[in-house]
Amino acid sequence: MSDTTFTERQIRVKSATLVRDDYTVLDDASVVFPRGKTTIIMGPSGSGKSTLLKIAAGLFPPDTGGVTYDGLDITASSGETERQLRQRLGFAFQDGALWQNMTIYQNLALPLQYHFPRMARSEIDERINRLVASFPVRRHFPLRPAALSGGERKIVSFLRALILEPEVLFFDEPTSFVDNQSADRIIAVLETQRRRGTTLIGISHSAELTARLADYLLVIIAGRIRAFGPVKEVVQTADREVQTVLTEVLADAATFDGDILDLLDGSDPFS
Amino acid sequence: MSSTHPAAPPASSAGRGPGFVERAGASVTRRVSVIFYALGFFIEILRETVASFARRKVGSRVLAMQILFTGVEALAVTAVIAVGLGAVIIVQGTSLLPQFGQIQLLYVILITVITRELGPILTAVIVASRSGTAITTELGNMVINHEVEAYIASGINPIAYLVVPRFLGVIISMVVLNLYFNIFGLLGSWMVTQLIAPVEFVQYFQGLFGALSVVDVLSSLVKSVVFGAIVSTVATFHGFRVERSSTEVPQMAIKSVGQGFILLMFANAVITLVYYL
Repeated sequence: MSDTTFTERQIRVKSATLVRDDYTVLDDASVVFPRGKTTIIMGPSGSGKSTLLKIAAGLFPPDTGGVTYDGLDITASSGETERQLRQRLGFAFQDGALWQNMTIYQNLALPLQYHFPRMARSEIDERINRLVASFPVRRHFPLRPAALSGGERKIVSFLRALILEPEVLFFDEPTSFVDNQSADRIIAVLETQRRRGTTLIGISHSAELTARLADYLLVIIAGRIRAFGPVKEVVQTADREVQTVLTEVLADAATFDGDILDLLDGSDPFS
Repeated sequence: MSSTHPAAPPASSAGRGPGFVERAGASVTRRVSVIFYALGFFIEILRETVASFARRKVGSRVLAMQILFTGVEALAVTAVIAVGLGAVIIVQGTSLLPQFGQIQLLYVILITVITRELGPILTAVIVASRSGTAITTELGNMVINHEVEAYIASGINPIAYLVVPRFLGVIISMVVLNLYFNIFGLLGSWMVTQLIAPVEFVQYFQGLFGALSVVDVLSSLVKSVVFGAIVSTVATFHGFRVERSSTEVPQMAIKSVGQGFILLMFANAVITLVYYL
């Protein structure tokens, strides 16, 4: 596992364990997500990927261990400190998690209205319109989330996570169940965020997204982090189970441009 | 969220299961921890309510919707029950009291029963049954749909944004509905009086106001506020206790009503006792 020693503006998960109904969902997970880099989390279904991501984002606390961002304990912070801290983190949910009693416009506007109560309506409109410019979302503004398809809800959730222009963006399978064109646009937006220096931490089994974005890979199996480090290091692991997970995703990456192509380079790194 | 997996087998599967004493102990510990958690939740609501006023940022849209649903839309059912109760008191009072030569106590009984006792508690029962279950169900579904997580992820405090407006909305509605209950209950009793032994409207209400003291009004008001706080706290608490499954939502709604009723009766007894001290 890579020895990462970053000191500022980093998400640090320390010895996080979560047990639910006598099952260990996450087992003593420790990881430091590098600042300004893209980390893609992979693992089989039910391996604890989403749990790790949500704990890292501070959406709920682990039973033991903790999470810090910029030296601040995310789950223990409260009041104004918590509000300011959260403002710097965005989260795009796997199932959208849109607020059902609000329109799509209100879903996008609420974070701005809450954090910037003095922001003019025209500025809110301008920021939202700029954000959704490359997505077919504007016609859905007056609709409630229930009127949208699953893919459309995911796109809105993804855009909502970006509305506050966060320093760290967490995303959970943003391109699954989304049409190819929208998936391309999502990846393009993520690439723009990456260029701007946003720390990206996400779950994806998309070969294209991984090939185009990943700086680091994290593989989690049965609640344990089995591999974490720069892509080049992780793809050369000797761990057979990690190899299996990577093979399933990265083998498909050969059809896409990206750094991973250089790694695979026609030879099987797992043989 | 990821599904769970058998990374660590259940403790009970490793050998003999926990005995009766262990299970009883665990049950007591769990219940005590829930009580302390509920107390902490209530303190957090109070803290966030004060903070919301301080930063002048109460979720006004949610507050308005809560008052509309709890206070306005419950008006009809409250009015029917109040008129019916007032009528029953008059019918029973005018038939029983003269037998003891105490018909002059009718006004005192009306004030005691409608204003001080049954008005607040019946209003609270209506609100707990109607709005309490609705709040628990709504919040429970929001938890399952990860909407509450989305609030947290967006830096929006769910207590401040979801609970405080409902807390204030239910209290305001409870006070207003109690006032309506009094008006309709006392009006209903007057209307029935017209059928039995007609009394002048002015004379009737002069008699009622003569029997009404400031303490009666205060007692009724205090009860409304306390009952509103109980109903909203219990409903929101149980809404947030839903964890993963939609089957938990009706279970929590039932608990919300049951525990709400028990706490309402207890609080009613305590406030009435204080009144007579």
